[in-house]
Amino acid sequence: MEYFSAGSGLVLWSSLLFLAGCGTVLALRFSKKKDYAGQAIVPTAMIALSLLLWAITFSFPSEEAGPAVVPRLWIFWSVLLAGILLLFCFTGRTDKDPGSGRLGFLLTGVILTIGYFFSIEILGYFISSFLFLALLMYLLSYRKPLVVFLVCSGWVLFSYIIFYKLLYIQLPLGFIENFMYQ
Amino acid sequence: MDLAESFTIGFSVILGWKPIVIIIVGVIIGILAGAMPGLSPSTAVALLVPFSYTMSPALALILLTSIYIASNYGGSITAVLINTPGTPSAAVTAFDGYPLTQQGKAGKGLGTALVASTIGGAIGVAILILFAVPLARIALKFSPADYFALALFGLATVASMSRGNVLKSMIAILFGLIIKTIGIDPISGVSRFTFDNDLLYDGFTLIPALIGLFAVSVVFEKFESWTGAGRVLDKIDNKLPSLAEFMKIKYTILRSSIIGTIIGIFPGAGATIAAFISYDMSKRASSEPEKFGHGSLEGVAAAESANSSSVGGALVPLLALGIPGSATDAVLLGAFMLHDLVPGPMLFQNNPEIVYGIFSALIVANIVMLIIGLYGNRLFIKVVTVPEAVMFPLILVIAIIGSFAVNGSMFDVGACIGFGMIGWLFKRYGFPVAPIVLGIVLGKMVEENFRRAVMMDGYGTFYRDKLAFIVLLVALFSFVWPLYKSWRHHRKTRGDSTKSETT
Repeated sequence: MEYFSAGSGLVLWSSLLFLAGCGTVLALRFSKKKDYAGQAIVPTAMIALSLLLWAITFSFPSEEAGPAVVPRLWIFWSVLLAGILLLFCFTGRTDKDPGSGRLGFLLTGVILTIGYFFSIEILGYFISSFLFLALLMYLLSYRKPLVVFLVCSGWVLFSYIIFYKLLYIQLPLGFIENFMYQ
Repeated sequence: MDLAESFTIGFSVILGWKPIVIIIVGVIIGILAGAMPGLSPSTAVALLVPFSYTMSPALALILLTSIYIASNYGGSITAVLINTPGTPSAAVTAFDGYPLTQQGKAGKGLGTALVASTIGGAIGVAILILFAVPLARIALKFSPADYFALALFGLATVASMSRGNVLKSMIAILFGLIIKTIGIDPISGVSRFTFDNDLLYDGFTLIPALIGLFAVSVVFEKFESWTGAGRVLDKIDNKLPSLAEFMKIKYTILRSSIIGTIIGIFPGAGATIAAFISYDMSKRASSEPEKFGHGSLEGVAAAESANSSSVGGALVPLLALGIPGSATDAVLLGAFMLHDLVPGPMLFQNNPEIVYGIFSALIVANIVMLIIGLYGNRLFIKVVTVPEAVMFPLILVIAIIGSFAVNGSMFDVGACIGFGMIGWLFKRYGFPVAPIVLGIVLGKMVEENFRRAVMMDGYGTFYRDKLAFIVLLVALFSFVWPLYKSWRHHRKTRGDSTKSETT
């Protein structure tokens, strides 16, 4: 297993695990037990993650009560219990998948949050937060421009006074910082 | 040091305008957070941990414990008024609280909930002081093997007592334990699972992970089920219960407070189980059981005194042994760590001002909660009606700034969002997130003590050490018994469904 614990072996091992994981969930999705395909995501991911980390433990020094012992203990139980749950998914002995809610709406919200994360470095914390709050409230169908403006500017002011001035947290300033030091 | 001397130190910490203002602010935030459906006490405490970052450890923990105790009462406000429990444990309060509102007696429901919460909270704190101090003294003699066994027992009870699928709870705990192994090994100094990324050398920072799992995942859940419906609140009356009505329920409050505290002591049991059991026992003991579910003051008092007193109970294992008794305690443990404090017996010796400061603050917070609750309920109700379309974006920006504030690192912000997505995925498919947090916070204690015990005395230490052996057996039973029960339940339900299909 040492070959898979680092370098190209690890890349190969993780690719195999990823493909096997996707294959397992897809196999369930297109079988008679398709109502359990979602339930299989977490146990499959747990098994894949555990096996990936298990391979890496072979690069640790082997000694009694060494650094590999406890991770391997958790990995063993994790593969065993997630394996049982996965088996239950294939035999239909666990809960069925919940009804799909507004996944598109959720995805938009998540993308907006990730976009906010990246924009903090570029636009700075204060401008990004103002825009993020306004956009998210708009997305959530809140249509009172004055309240939106007051909430956004109120938060920016609050975070500036409390975090930036009082707690001395160096919030990213983005391009404003470049202007400041030009 | 005797108890009186210790309390002198404790009260000296909270005397002064700054601690008192912090307690008042903590109680107000706790009530508001508890009242907002979707924000649990653990979410509220997790969101506020970064704000306590620059405070002294004593003041930070006073703020967080005040929020904790008040949020349990806050949950009853919306439960009584709009049948929407602000916290899971307040669901039991709604059984009788909301019928009281429908009968035009909302003031009586809120008043009973407030007084029962205050008395329950005070009894919980009293039992906390009585139990935690001697337990901490005994714990000083524990060996690494004992600590390993106790931490494992804590994890086992959490898994077994969690609602729903036991297997899923255990998988969630293991996920937390595995996450905790990322970073530099505390004993050998070997870098584990870091992929040569120096940002991972210290592992994932606890606070961003907590905020992601508890707060961000809630917002993502709300996105998925978003309907855009606003909150509706009718006009309410404000008439409190009479003294005679309070006297009628005094034994219910006393009994439920004791039950709530004892249940709270067991890791994983928590406020919700305490409220359900106390409600059931009060109904059995009541001279008017038929009124339960139709607006009984006894029902409201039983639920509220039990869930508030469970706070004191849950703090016993946290302060005395360093084992969190509930999800909120796990977050509090993170706050202790943020301030370089390790809960457990040594905390009583090295930092008595922190421990007795917390005890004293909890006593004062209860009194403050009573006063603020009596005069502020009408105002809180207005604040709680803030539209969700405004509240959820605000929760996200607080989560982001809170994660950044811990280390000034954007990596932590990314981790917070990542854990938010993991939390959403877990919850969507019925995996509870609280065990993940417990796995993360107890992981280090379990691993370090396990390896120290083996290094000192070999693997045989776990059966040679009597306490460790007994606790490990109990922990094993706690793991296996619920799995067996769940398996039998599945078999029975499958048998029943096969029979009904045949007929």
